[in-house]
Amino acid sequence: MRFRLRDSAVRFILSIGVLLLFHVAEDASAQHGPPVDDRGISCEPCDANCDSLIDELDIAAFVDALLGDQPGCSPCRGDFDNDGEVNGQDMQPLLDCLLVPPETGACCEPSTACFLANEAECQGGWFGPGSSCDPDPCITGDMTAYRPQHGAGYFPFARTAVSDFDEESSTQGPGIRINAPSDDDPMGEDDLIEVTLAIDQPGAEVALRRSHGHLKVWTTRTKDVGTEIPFLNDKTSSVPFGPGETMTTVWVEWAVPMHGTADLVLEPSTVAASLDVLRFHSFVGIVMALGGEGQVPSVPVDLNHGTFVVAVGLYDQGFDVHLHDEDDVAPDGSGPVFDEVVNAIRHRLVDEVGIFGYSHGGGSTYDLADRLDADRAGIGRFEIRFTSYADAVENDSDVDISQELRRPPSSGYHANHYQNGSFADFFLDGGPVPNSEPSPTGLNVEVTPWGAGATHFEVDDFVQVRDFIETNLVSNVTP
Amino acid sequence: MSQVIGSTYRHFRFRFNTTLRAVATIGVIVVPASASEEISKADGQIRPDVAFQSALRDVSETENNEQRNERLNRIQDLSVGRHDHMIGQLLWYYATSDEKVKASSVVGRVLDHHDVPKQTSVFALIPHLDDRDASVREMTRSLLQGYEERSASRPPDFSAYRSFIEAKIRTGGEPSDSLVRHMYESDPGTALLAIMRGYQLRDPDEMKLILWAEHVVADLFWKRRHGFLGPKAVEPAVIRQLRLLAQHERWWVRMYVAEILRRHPELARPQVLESLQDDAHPLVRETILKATEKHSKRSRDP
Repeated sequence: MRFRLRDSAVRFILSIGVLLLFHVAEDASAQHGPPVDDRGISCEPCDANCDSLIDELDIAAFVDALLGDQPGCSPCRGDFDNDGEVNGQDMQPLLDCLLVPPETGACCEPSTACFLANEAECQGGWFGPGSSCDPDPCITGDMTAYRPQHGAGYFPFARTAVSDFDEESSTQGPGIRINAPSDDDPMGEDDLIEVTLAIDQPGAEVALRRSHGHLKVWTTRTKDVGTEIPFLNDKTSSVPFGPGETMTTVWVEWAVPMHGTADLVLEPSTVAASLDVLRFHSFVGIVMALGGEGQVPSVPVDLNHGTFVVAVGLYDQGFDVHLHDEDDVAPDGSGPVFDEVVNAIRHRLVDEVGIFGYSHGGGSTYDLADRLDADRAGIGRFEIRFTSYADAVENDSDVDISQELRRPPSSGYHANHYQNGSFADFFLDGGPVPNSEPSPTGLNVEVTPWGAGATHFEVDDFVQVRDFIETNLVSNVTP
Repeated sequence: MSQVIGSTYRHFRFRFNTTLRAVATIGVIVVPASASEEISKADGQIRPDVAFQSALRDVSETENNEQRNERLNRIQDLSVGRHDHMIGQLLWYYATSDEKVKASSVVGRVLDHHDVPKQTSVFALIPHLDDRDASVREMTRSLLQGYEERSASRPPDFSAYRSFIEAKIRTGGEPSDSLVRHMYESDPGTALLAIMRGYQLRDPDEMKLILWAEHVVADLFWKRRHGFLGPKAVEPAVIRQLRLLAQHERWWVRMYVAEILRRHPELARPQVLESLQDDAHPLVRETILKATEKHSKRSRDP
């Protein structure tokens, strides 16, 4: 009790002292740079009570900090010399600060009009001491990333924007292929991601900041010489817009052979304030979708081609998905689909593979998995994390009608849906495959209420089948 | 002696082919484009058999297993002793069908139902590689591919092709260009060895030369495939063997070189490309032209 009384007395004396000094001192003007807290966030030691105002009310909080008996509202309150403690050395700077509060300037925060604030108060872009809101310096900017290209364009997918909701997600945001120098692009350079930049006023100067040197930005999709936008200390100079233009397109490359996520931030050129953020994730997995006989990928997707419908859904969820005619896989597993997977593993550090197919595409799923497994030593490290058959038929030729009953070699998870052939489908059907899901051998859809009487031509189109494939691929393969 | 005979034969064949080509060219010029399609169907090598085509349509419209088997048995009856005829009718049925999935399933079902040796079916199919109808040729290639039993785990089975070629050679004939092309496009190494055996070579030195060269080239591909060498690695021994085979007197040996270089332009050397560009055999010239284009593209690309 006595200690408390004595403590209160000390606090009272100190407060009076500081107040006296505050009222007496008039000529101090010590300079101090904006300190940062232990999270690297700029904070104001003068605003000792963290109410965003610098006034006499900060004195009591400073005294608390001086006595060190309470956790502060910020780790740098009162610590003007940034030495990690509040002591007598900080008293004069406090007075200086109270007598000469920080200058105000124009502040732009998201969803607010320009206002004047000091640097510590401004949670957005601060344009410096003495800057004005007239004319309004605030810029509104937006970035839109698109899903990956295939060859010279987006076919067999539509050009698909990553939604604002997903654009900062580490898994569903913009996925990007590692573009190492040895990467093989048989259809031409297609590993850069299209990003459109939009500003609200022509002539506004915006720049890009990257969180990691993995990202490079170009103004051409084929990385033409002289079209790279260079970064200096991870920020570009002003991004070029055409005269009077409020939109432009840049192409983002993941140029380092290492996985991760990296942010691309749109900022005003002159201040560090985020206008929009995209979070890129390098593709760890690759997904191959194989249609049935006569099914050719198209845009828009044919809703009767269930395999491709699932593939489009996965593409929109941030996966590197490739659609193919089943005959792009030869009976020995070789061909362009195999080459694409091998290239991804060897040169883009992909190590998770998902394959699914319908009818003859199921047979090709087996052939592809078999070839990948047989050639492992020469390909590199990878796992076939997911495979799926929808009424799979072997695909040794166009007239092969044998049920595909072999489990894809080395598949970590195999889904299987089938029906019993009848006159309606020329007796084409798949069948039970060992160790398949739903266990024990996959699902004969004809035993379910929703699939009773199903034909070969319907198995891949049931929403229950499509959901099962999609859900379990997402659970087993990393985007 | 055999070389002289071969040379005379080639000369005769060349002149015959030239005459035939001239006649065909005139025919194409005279016949209007719209009519040429009809001629292709009507004057093609396959003549539709009404009873057979009707039976195939019946199979496509069965309503249960019992009925299906009954109709398949009917086709079997129509095919007794006429397997070649049945194959032709199946190809015709497929080529003229508007519903390809349905048609291919009927063809597959009929072939499945007939317990016919692989060799018999392959022998019946091979002539249709030269059919005038593109969809028949495509279907023929697909069916032949099925009989090759290709797999990631083993080389394709070309035993039926070997047997076919042997039969041709024994009766003084030659395999068609289309068969040789099909075999090389499917698997060049297996094709070379199957053709060599089909041609009934007897000189051990000549056989060893071909066997060794194929072994050296195959060994490179094996090393690449299993990661002992890079995907585009080149071994000097392979270049030497390809150069040697490019000078071989037999066109189907030189064809092997052309096909390998078409697939693997990194193995091409200007001297070999140039020598095969003027080859006596049109198939070799045609293939090496594609190889040269790929080689040039590869040289241009960084």
